[in-house]
Amino acid sequence: MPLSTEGLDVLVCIKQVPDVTEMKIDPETHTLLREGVPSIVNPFDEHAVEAAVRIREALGGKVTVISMGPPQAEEALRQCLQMGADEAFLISDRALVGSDTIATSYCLSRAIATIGKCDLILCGQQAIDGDTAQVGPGIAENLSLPQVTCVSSIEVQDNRKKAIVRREIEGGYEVVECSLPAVFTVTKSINSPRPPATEIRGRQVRRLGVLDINCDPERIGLKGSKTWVMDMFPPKPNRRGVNAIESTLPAAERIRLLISGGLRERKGDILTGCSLEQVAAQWVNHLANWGLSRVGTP
Amino acid sequence: MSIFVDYTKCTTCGICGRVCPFGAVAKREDGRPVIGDTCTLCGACENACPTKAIVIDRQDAQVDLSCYRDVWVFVEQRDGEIKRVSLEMLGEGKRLADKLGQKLTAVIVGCEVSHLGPLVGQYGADTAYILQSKHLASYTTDGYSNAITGLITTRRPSVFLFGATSTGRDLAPRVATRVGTGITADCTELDVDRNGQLVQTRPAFGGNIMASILCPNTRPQIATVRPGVMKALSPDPSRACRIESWDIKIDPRMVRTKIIETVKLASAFRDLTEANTIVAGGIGVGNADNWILIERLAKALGASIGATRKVVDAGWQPHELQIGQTGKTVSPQLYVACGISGAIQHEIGIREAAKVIAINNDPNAPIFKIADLGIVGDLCEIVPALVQALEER
Amino acid sequence: METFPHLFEPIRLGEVTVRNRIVSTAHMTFFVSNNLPTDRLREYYRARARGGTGLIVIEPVSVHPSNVASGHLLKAHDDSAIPWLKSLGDAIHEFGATAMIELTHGGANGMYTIEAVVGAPSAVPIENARYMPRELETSEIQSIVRGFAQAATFAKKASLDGVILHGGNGNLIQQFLSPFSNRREDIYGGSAENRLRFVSEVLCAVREAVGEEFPIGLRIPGDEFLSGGLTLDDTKWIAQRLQTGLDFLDINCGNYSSYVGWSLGVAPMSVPLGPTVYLASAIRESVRIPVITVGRINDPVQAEQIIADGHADMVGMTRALVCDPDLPEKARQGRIEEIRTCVACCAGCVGREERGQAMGCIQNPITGHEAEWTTIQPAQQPASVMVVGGGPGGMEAAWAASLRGHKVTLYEKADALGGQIPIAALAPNRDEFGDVVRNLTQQLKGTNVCVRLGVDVSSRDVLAESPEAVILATGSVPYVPAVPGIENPNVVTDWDILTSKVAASELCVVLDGDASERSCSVAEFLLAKGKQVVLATRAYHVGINLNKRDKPLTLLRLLDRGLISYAHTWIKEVRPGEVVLEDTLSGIETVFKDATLVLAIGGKANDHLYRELVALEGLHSRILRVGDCLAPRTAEHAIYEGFKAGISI
Repeated sequence: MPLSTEGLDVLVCIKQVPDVTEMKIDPETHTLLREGVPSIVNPFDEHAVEAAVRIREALGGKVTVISMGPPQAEEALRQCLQMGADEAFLISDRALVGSDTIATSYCLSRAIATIGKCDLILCGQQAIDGDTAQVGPGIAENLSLPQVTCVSSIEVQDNRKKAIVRREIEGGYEVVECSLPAVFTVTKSINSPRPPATEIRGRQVRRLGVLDINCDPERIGLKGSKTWVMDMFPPKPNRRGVNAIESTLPAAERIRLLISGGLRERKGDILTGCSLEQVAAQWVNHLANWGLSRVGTP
Repeated sequence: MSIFVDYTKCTTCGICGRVCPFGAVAKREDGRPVIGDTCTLCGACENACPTKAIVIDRQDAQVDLSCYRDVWVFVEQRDGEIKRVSLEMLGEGKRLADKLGQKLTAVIVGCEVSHLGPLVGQYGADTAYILQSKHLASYTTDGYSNAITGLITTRRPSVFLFGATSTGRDLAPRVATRVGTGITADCTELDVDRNGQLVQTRPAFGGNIMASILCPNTRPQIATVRPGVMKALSPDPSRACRIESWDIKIDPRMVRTKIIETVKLASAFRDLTEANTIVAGGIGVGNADNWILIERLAKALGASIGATRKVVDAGWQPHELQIGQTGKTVSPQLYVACGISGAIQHEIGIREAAKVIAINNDPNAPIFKIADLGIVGDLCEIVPALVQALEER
Repeated sequence: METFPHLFEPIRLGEVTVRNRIVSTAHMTFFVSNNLPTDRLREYYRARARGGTGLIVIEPVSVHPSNVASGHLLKAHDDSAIPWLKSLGDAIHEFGATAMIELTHGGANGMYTIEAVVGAPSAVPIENARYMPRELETSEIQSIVRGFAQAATFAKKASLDGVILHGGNGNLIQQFLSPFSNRREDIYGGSAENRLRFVSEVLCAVREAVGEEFPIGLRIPGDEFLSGGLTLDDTKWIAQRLQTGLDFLDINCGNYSSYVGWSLGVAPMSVPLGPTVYLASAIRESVRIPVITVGRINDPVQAEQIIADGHADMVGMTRALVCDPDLPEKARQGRIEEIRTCVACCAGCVGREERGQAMGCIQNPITGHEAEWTTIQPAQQPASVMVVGGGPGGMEAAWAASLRGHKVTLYEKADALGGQIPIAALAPNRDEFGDVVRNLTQQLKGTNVCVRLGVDVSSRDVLAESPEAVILATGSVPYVPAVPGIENPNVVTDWDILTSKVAASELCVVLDGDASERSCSVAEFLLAKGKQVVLATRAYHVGINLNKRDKPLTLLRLLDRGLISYAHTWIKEVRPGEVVLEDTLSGIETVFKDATLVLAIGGKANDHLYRELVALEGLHSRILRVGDCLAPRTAEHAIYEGFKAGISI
């Protein structure tokens, strides 16, 4: 495949996912209602595509998007072309069915190796159906590339050999220098994705199967998956903040519980007239007894 | 592994098609279901079928995994201070190890972190592996994954837990891919089934459903664990663990990322509704200058800060910290109420706190009725004493 | 800035999209005359739509002539209703809100007149009514079913966006559903299935009349809180059975059959915020249609958390919107400190209706007067205005005068604003009342009113200032009756007790003057401190003048704590350490030894400044009095009069 000779070749991995905000649980069978839920480009991946297009606008080069999925994922790739990507590939094959993140990362890294060397690989931080955030690092490891996750800004140095990125961590961020080529997974704060408004004009989504990308059949699909889903069940509802009253109680008691707000007297020790030393000692004792370690930052 | 529909039992009710999260069930002309290519054998249809017409055949491949033993916990530290999620995982790890009849090992990576060895012993570890190098002082993907993968291949753990932090979610999948094993992200529940497999339960589809996952054929079984869910053990100072320490040789050229700067954001308002520990101040704090006492106590406890409506009205603190009236309810493990009398709406806002400690000058303050520990006195004297007690420990 | 992404996300109810999750649920206003809406009602709804509410449900409308009701209930018994229904809908649509209407039949809740007998499923006596209803015949029931369908078609023809079947607040549908009120032995009673039949038939008939797309909702109580009535388990089943024909549910609580049940339906201040969210939450888990939760949901932060946590799809914030119709807009713009929060005193809204008057709000004089007072025109000539007294009356007067563009200075002799309200808020369960001061203070923040604290204004000061107008809001002091021995040291006022200025003896005799909050509050305060309390009132019973939402719960709390009450009783005399009461009917005396007499009679106007000013030579200022210094009453009057005085200048 021809690569551009100037600018940066950026490859973006995307996924088509169900819009999980529209999903509901069937209250009778307690299972997920998948019917009628629209499919969208994984929101984090939109940010990755946007980041790639902006790099091309600044430095020149090419943006390629790839996805591993069923045939209908082509629609998601088309949307990325409409955001400005130059080329799109769908890796779709029956042998890929049932892949976990390990198998998926392997397949995508084979596809990337086949498509051609690129300077930078971008992924969304995580896909909203699985929320694992595992595929980006998996691809990096398969291709033996450095990785930075949770990236909220990218600055490619002029020599195309390095990038300076911001990595979001708890309570702040790190400024990290990383050699290129590399894999970055991006957060939503990196940019605001443009709507898919560009005309595609002759650019097609090209299909690749497992034979095209030279996959080891033992490492893809169900066979290549190390984890299996054994059970799925609805989550326990979030009862936080709500004073639920047992309906089998007599009415008078239900009323009392309602108007008292469900507060219960705790009958704890009340220290009065103690010295500061005694207070401090009791404080430490109680915390220890309750297993509330003060040790450790959150 | 295969899935099979017994058409003699099928009533064409269609429930299987409706519940499939992967859209893998198609309807034939006669109304019967056909399982398609996108099936992942998750079992949703098997569970939902009212006539048990769908059967999934799960034959486990025969692999000898018995040489993999023990539960490992990746102990995350920053600047020599252990992250709380690691203590939580040690607590959970001990429970799992006991169930397996095996041991718990803490894996500590960093520079000048040997003091953490005895500490993890107090929190349940039987063994501590300490990997040190000046190139491991700060977390880098290459540095840490190289260090840990070597240890896995030589010591062969059965289970390896990482906190689902920015570090854990960067490191664990890298390690799992290198070792060639399965990994489950952001687990909220862990258990051991009767075959000694680690059952990893986590939310999926945006939290709309829970999935239980096994890693039956490869080792170690790797999982990242959601912070704030598991329970740390009470530290036992008499408990010692066996410590093995290595000075790791790291070729700096193998570490392809470099941290140029670390920026801490000035107390980003941590979402109070998710906070694990809260120190809250009421109008009894006295004045805006005294609020420093609340801040000190919060820092010493690693807690988020809250305020009552009256404090916000007085302009001492912004509205985002308000608890109680305006219906913000919190459910921390520990709530320390300083100078709060306990108006009913505030009490209801903190009703689900696991433990409440109240400090107030007025012995008749209503808050003492809902406190697990009450301290009557002047908080200007008491709070510094409490801070000191924590710092001395 | 705090944002409320869940609260402002649009939602579909049937074919209709509502712009946000905030609902003003149906409530009677008494802006209805001879069963027809007045302009006042239209303006009231227009203001709520303009303020940003998503769904406004027009107040209940009677569907059948057998519903015996006063002139305050809208009636849609024939198609002459269509034009005025449309006019109400238009007022709501003008500003982009969704307009629906609640269809009702009161059944046993109807009025008892010489002309008609109310009909109900069964002849069961209820606490809230005096006479027995008669049992409805099957033909009548079916006629009423047709009435619902007919009224629904009127609503549709009037271009309203949907209808809600009123199965709550103890009305006829609820009476059929409830095993307490439905003891029938025909197909409409007996089993749960039979009791469901009436509302099923109504729903069927309405659906057939309006078609598949027109939204139909149902209000039912999640729990009747009535012994022998519907519990959450029952209503979950009802919701599941009816959901295929419905587009949404509105879950409240309570009933009309018992005092407490009636009170919980519009829960007062003493009930915690959002107490019935758990009911909507449980029902939402069992159905596939949207669920509205309602009841003490006061502010956008609380509402947002309810929706974000998945307890309900929409929130009814009816009283909150009565108090501040602009709450949604303010929330959307992040100006939440500017929201005037409802304190659930129930005095201005349902309280006035109980007295046969049109609805209002103690904190918002404009409610019900939207046409006249929403926009206050600045005066031709800005004037200088002195407001003396920083209680609710003075604070409101100062604000109102500033709306007219006047130069206003507000003087208060204490070092904080609020008047008597902070004292009243010291009583148990009254802390929220203090928010009235908070809201008034916030209101003043947006103005140029100059506030001078710690200044005791004398008549000389007024003369020196010589303002155009001086508004006196100097309030009142506790009333002390002229009774032998009243000067004894064991006589204290309720203020003394609440502010902890004095210690009371173990036995306290609280003397009540108006059978209302004042005495009940201080009695509860003393009971909480562990005192033995006797509450003596001249009225026929303690707390008789409390509004109907407060009364049963207040009495419940007082009796729980061991209150001893003496009705039709007054003070005879006080001796050192002793209090002597006398029954005003029988004349029997009771002596309480070692007792403190706590006066909670009412106020005595603090009007010496007024008298001085009126007598003052050379003072040309206009003098106005508002609130207690005119005649001691309540904060409601003070604020209302303060507003009117302020804009009259």
